[in-house]
Amino acid sequence: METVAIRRAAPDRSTLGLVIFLAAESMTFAGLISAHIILRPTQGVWPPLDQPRLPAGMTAVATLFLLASAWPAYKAAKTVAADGTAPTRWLVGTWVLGALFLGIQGYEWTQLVGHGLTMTSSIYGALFYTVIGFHALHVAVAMCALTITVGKSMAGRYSAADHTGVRLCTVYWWYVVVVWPTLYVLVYLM
Amino acid sequence: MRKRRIFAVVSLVALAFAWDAVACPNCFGELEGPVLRNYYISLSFLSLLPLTIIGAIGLWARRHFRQPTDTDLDG
Repeated sequence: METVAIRRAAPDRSTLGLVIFLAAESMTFAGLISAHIILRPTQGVWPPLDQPRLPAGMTAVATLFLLASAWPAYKAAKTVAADGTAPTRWLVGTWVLGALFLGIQGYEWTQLVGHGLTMTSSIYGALFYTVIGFHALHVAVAMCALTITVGKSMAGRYSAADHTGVRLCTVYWWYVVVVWPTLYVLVYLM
Repeated sequence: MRKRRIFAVVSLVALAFAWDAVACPNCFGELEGPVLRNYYISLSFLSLLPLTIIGAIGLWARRHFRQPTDTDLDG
């Protein structure tokens, strides 16, 4: 009996690049979370009495949309990996749920600005727009990536053997989804 | 060699004049109560997270290279 060990090839550069990028992103989010943790007790009453309260209920609905979007993203990656079927409808489903999340957040921001919560109104406002805005920026970037991936999928550019674009796009989407609950609890509920 | 000597002298002089840095009201030395507690939480979080990330990447790489490609062949 002879055992032949076959080493797997190194991960492709784009996968490695995404892993390093997400590691760096995690530290950026960690920095923002730390800023929130440290600055909060310096303010005494939180949220400040003269500042509007955040709409936790409405954002909970948006959170459900974002969490639900992880499922079509998963199905997109699985479908194309299984038999090369174009994952267009799953990617579009992910995009739509992401757009609903961003739409609700945009509406919420306009309401809050109308009630006087701005970047310069208080540390509370500055932290809110920086932390939540940074995440919203990530969702927007992920949606741009999804749009490109949908276009390529419709053009039949992906197969079971070659679907790196779908895989990386969905991994990035999952990252955006996984980070959100921590931010929601920290900023809206605590 | 001369550069090393200059570097050593400058370092020693800098060390001789070193003292605690208190740059702003949020500085560590000026803190107490919940702010200090949250500083400790934050320090622990930011210190452990990079190690966790590096560990996770290490595990991922280990799994990637060790996945079932070992083939048993009857000789």
